[in-house]
Amino acid sequence: MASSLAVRTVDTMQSTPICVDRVTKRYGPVTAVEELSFQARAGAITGFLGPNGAGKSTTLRMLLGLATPTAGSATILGRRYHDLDDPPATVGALLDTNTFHPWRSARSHLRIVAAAAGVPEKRVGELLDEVGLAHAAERRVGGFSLGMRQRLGLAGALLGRPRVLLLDEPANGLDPDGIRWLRGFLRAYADDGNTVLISSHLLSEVQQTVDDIVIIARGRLRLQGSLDDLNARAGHTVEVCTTRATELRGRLAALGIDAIPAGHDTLTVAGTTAETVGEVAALGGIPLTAMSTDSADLEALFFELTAPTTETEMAA
Amino acid sequence: MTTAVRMRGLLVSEARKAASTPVTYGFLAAILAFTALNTSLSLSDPTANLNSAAGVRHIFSAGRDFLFLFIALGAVGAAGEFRHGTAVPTFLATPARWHVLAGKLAAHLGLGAIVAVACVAVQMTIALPWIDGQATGVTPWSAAVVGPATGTLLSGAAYCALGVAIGMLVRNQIVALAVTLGWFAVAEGALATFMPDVSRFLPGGLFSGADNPATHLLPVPVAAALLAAYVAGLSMLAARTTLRHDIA
Repeated sequence: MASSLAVRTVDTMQSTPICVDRVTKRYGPVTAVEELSFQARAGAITGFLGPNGAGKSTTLRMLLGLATPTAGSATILGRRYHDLDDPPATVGALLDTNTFHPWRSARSHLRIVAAAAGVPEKRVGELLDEVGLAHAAERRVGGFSLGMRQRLGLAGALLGRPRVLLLDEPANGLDPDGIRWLRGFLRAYADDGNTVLISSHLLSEVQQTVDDIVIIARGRLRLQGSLDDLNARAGHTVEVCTTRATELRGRLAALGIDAIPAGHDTLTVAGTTAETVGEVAALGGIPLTAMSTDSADLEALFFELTAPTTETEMAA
Repeated sequence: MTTAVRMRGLLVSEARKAASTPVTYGFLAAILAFTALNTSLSLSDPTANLNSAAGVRHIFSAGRDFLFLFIALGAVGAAGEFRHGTAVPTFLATPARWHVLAGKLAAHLGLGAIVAVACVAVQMTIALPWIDGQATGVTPWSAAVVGPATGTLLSGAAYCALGVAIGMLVRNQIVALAVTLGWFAVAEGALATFMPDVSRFLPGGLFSGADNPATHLLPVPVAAALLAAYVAGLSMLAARTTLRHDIA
């Protein structure tokens, strides 16, 4: 059930930071990814979503040259990973938390990667500070918590100051403070014109972070678009409270937006975003006392999109 | 970044890996302990003739019995990347996989040479005072000492690189160790017994007689060239087969 939102031409493939073009990956009789196409743009955070086993990690590995596509191409800035002039300075990747020798210290791990990547050693100390691991720099990674491993993996991804970041479930194991830090970091990183692709099996985990969304299930694309597109498709609702509810309802109706009274001084608005409702109110000088969005439908749409759609898929 | 700078970075990276891996020190300790034990046993053998050059050469080649540990050191160093998942950051930093293989081979040539130098030092520390009390005219610069010591140095470096080729080819650390120990400790021993003409061309037999010109084994230059060919052949096989496989 690939959405029409997913229908995009690849005429801008050369300039697209991340371009997956009709990629298929088979392991013997098992098809992990099938005819998958999507792009991620610069200056934005793209959420790469799907349930466990959907093919997210396999796709990221193909982008990074760790796995070879059976068909199609996965390119970064128009080139395959191993054809990039300076891969560590172009792409940073965090794939999983089991890519560290348990006996090595955090600093030792980063020094090893830095040497191979041609990165000055002073960058190691800077990054340990930046990801909040300076206090544990000399400790063995084997004793690290999942969250600390994620931070170390992120430090490794950032060693070469890359323009593109590929992160596989980066929030796994992070405490709330760590998640907040990660969100802020990724937002600032994307706002600098860089490209971020983060995978997750939980929409709610990335909902507050991403600008664009790619949803896959069973190796196939189910939807690509902006978060606003998804909200609109989900029948996302905005609940707004104002003492001038009738007037606001009228102004929204003039724009073709339905607003239904939902109690005293409260409207439920469907088919638009909170930003639009706020702008309409502001233009009319209508004071708002409260406004909230209902994301339950978004989650429902995610499950609907990732649910088996054919008898074959259901049997799989 | 030029290829030379890239390769220098790779060498530094591989050296740091070896230096920060406990198994390196475990193998170093084992090789030195076995060398010390074997040298002591050879010296205390009542049939040992310490007054002859051949007898002295025999003593200083005692460490050669444990060359398979050098192979195991290289094999574990290479296959360990896949066991611990560190192959992922390694191949992300250096996507050209044969560059990684070349860097590992070079780094382990150096590591094998360093361990071999330590072996020779242990042998000299034990044997020279012992021999000095029973024979005369043996110094660290005697041909009967320098010859076998050079052989240990060359073979230790080369066998460590051979282990890297095996580790990259097999990728599974346990299987790489089993193959190494099975081949060099069992299979070649059996072949040496039943097919001595063939065994001298096999990896484990190449340097066994390097210090003993009287044996029917290959001359040192030929043995060295053949060992280099084994390393190159296995490395090319790894580069063309398993190294092309997906990295899990």
